[in-house]
Amino acid sequence: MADIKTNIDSLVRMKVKGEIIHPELWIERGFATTWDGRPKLTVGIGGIVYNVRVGDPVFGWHADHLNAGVAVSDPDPSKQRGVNVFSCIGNEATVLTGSAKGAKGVVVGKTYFFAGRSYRLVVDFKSEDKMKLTIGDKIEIESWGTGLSIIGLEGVRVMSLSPDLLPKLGVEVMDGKLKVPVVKIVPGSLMGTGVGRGGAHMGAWDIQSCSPELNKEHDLYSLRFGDIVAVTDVTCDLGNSVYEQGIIIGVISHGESELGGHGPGIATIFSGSKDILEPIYDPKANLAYILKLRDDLEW
Amino acid sequence: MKNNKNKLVQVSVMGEISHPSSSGGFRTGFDGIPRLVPGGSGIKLNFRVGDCAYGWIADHFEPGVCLQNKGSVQQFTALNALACIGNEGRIVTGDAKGVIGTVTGKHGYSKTFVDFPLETLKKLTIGDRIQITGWGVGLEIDGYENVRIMSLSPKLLEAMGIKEENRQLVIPVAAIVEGRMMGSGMGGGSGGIPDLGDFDIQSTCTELTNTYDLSKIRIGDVVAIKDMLSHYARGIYPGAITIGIVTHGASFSPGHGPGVSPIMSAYPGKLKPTKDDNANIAYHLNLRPEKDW
Repeated sequence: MADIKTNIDSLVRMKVKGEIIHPELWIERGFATTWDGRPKLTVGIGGIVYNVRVGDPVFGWHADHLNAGVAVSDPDPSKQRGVNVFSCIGNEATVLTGSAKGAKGVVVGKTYFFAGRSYRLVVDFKSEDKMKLTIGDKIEIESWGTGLSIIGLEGVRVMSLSPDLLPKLGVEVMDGKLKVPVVKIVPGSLMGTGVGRGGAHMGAWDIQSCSPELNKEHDLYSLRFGDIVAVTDVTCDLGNSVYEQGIIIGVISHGESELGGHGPGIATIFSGSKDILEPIYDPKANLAYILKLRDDLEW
Repeated sequence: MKNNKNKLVQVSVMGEISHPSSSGGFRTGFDGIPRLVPGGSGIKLNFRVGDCAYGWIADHFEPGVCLQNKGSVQQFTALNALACIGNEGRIVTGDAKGVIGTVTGKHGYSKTFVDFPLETLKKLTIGDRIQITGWGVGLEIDGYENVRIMSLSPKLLEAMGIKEENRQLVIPVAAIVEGRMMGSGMGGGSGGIPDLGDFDIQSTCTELTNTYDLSKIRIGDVVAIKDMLSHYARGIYPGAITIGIVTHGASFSPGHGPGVSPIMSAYPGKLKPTKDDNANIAYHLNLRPEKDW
């Protein structure tokens, strides 16, 4: 680990600010329609989610695109992009207003609310702090990490990753490759909404969960929020797309979905070609374990 | 084969020929090259249904005439929802007033394409209005009600050369595309409704475009997409088949490429695509008589 050298000294640290946003429905005034034609009220897009956190299962909730924590964004589309792009997973968040003023949290995901065309962060707080938070509370993030790269392995694109999280991921450079512990390797054919959206440093790219047969075959049901996963045969270098020689690694940022083409969202942290980026299986490759956010879970 | 066309209402929707737009910046391609190239909207004189979707120095190039409704969100959505491929559109303003064209595709929830012969295209002006007789929403084939049909006029349905074989619909298609190649538009629009627009065959991995021999695809081609269900939103489903019409040209943007407006979606075992080089709506509807088919 000590052998990984980065351009950390050239990265600026700066503050960005968002607010806790209100939950929203997928369809204004009505039901969304699931992949197989059922009406569904979508719970869990935005707001403060109390009883689901990073480390918990992605499936099994009566929800859709659930943000397992606190959703932070900005109503102004331009600032919203600033907040989303410059905040990195692992960056520290501070509550600026309200009863929880001063409480510290950590960025654990990035999401995109497709129907509302808006970008959000998922921020994790301790339960006792979360109870004091209010929708509209201002949250400041000490953004640090945009532009991060590994010296000697510049071909691996690093994005949305806090420089102090990188060494904790258990990554190694060996034989000219970056080896990254992941809980799962997903085939690119499963990737859905988010393909073609543009820069992968914003929002998330969905692993489609609209085929129960494929969910079982690829054991998506075991996914947890915060899991580090790899996806093969795709690239996020300049945008999300199919690429035979490519592989990406990212963090599960939002919950599953029953809408066609949608599913658990991955915020990409690494993108590269298979000859320089390699996933290694590790069942503990989850942010909650890596950042010691959940004493209550057994790993 | 019978269908329920006699129960479907015919309703007018209107749009005007929209001006091309530009962000003012370069668009960074899959290869890292920033480009300024023509894209959507306007009137295309040398790019029509029947022409190849690949190889142009353009991005998301739209064939013929691009119509948009400049009214409310509900109104422009209605144009895209109710206009079906193969419907007739009549020019109601300007020098070409009275000429009738054909709807050839839709793009991105708010654009509908209409094809006219070259002499008419030359007379058209940006801002000219075209009224379409929307006919086809709710279309079903008798005995195949579980095949969801969308954006398809009864006229085109009946001209596609579809046959019935062993309780399956056999659909002539110009290409069969792997589901993994589908890009932007997966999951659908804000309502997830696949009836409104299109989704792209990714053209930004050259190796895969060559492997699957996609670069011959033309605008107007009827194509089948494997493992893709488009009943309520576009998503992966092993064995499902989506049939669509290629509506706009290829792209340099990662995850983008020629657009496909879905016209049929079926669970496994209901549709059987069969290769036919003439499976193009310009051939089916005789829109390009000057071409050798």
